[in-house]
Amino acid sequence: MPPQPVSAGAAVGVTSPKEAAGPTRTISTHLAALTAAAMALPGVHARAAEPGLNPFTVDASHLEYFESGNRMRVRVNQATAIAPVGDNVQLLADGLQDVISGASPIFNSPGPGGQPQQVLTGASVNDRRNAGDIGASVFWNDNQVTLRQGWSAENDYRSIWTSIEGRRFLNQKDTVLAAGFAFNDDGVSTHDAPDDFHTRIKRDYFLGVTQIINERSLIELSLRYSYSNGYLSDPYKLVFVQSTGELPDARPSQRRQIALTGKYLLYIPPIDSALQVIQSFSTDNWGINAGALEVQMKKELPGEWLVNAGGRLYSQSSADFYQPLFQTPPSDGLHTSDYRLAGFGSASWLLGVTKQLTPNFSLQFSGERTYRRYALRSGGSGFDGDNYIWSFYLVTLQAQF
Amino acid sequence: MRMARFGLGSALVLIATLGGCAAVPPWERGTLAKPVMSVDPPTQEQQQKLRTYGAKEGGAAATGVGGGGCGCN
Repeated sequence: MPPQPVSAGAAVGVTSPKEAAGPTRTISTHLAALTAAAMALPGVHARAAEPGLNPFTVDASHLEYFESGNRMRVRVNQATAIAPVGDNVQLLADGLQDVISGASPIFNSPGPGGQPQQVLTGASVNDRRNAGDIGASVFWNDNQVTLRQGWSAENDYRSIWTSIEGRRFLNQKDTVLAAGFAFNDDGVSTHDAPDDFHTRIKRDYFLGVTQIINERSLIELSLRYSYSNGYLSDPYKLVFVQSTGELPDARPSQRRQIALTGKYLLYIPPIDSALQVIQSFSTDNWGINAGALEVQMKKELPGEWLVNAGGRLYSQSSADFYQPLFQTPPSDGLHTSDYRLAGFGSASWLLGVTKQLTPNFSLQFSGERTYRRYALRSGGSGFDGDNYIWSFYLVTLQAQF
Repeated sequence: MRMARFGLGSALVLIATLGGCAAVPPWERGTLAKPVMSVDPPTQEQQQKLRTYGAKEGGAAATGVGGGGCGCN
C-alpha cells in the first residue's frame, strides 16, 4: 500500500507557535486584528487557537472501512499527539492499529463464453498492522522544518520510513513554499513464507506553493515525483494464462510517478459558504494515467457546527502489462490482472460534520462511499466483473489544551 | 519523455502561480481564517482518505511526503 502522508497537503500555511503567540492579549483592536490575521493562514482552523496559541493536541479516531460483496473489512484505531516545547518546537507522536479481515481478489479465470470472472481468496484474510511515527517541528523566523521517523509492521509487510519537509513563508505570508523528501524501506513477504522478505524502496520528492489570491480565495499547487524500485509485484496476485495456467503477478522492478495536485478555495458571501475544488493528474512509466476531481461545499452553522458535502470523480487507464486474461505469456515476462491496475473510474460522495463541543473538545464525523465502475475508465482494458463499492466512516475526537 | 514534459509543465504552473496575485494585507484575511477555508481536513481524516485511495487506485496525488506502507489488498 502506498505511503500515508504525514503532512496533509502541500504547502498548507502553518503559523509558527512563536508568531502565533505574537501581539496577543493587548487592548488594541488593531493589534488584535493583526493577531487574528496571523492565524488567518490557509489550513489553520480559527478554533485551534482558542485553548492556547501553541496548544497540546490529542486526536483519537476510529475508522470502519468495508467493501461490497463481503470483501475486505478494515477497522483502524489511531491516536496522534502534538506537544509544544517552548515557542519554537513541537514534538509529534502517532500510533495506529489496523485489523484487516475478509476476502480479496486473486486473479481472473475464464468464465462462460470465455469472459473473465473474478476469483477471491474466500474470507481467509486476517491480519493486524501496527504502525507509528515520531517527529519534531522547528520554527524560526519565516521557516518551518519537520522531521519524522516511522515504522509499520504486519505479518507479511514491514516498513521503515523517514521524511523531512520544510516550509517558508513569504510576502507577509501571502505565499507559502514547501519542499519535502521521504525515503521508504519496505519488506514484502507472504503468509506462506513470512520470513522471506523482498525489498521495496521508494523515494518521494515534493514541491508545493500556497498562494492567497485575494481576501476570499486561495490556491495551492503541489508536484510530487516518486521513484520505487525492488520487488513491486503483489505476492498474493496471480494471472491466468490460457496456454500455461496460473502464473505469479510480475511487474517491472522500477516505477516512476509524477503527480500534480491543485486546490482552490473560494468563500461565497451570499451563502456564507466555501467552495473547494481539488484536481489531480498523474502519470507513470507503467502506462497508468489518472485524474481526479473533487468538489465540496463547506458551511458553518449556528451552534459551532461545520458541515461539508460533495463528490469525487476518478478515472485511470490500465497499466501496459495489465490484461484480465492472457492468451500466452508476454515476451517481456511482465503481467498482472490486479484490478487496481486495470482501466476504471469511480464516483464518490463525501460528507463531514464537525461539532465544537467545548473550547477544548471537538467531535468530527466523516464518511465516503465510492462506486468503482469499469465504464468510467480513461483508457486501456478491464472488465465489469471488477466493479464493487467501498465505504468508510471515521469518527475523531480532538482535545486541545 | 511524456513524464518529463508533464513534470516540466507542472513546474511552470507552480512558478506562474507565484505571480499575478495581489498582496492581501494581514488585517484583510479574516475570511481566510474561517474554518471553512481550511485547505485540508483534519490530519487523520486526510491520512485515511489518501491511504484508501492509494490502496484502491493506480494513480497518485501530490499530497506531501512520508508515511509507512502496508500490504493492503
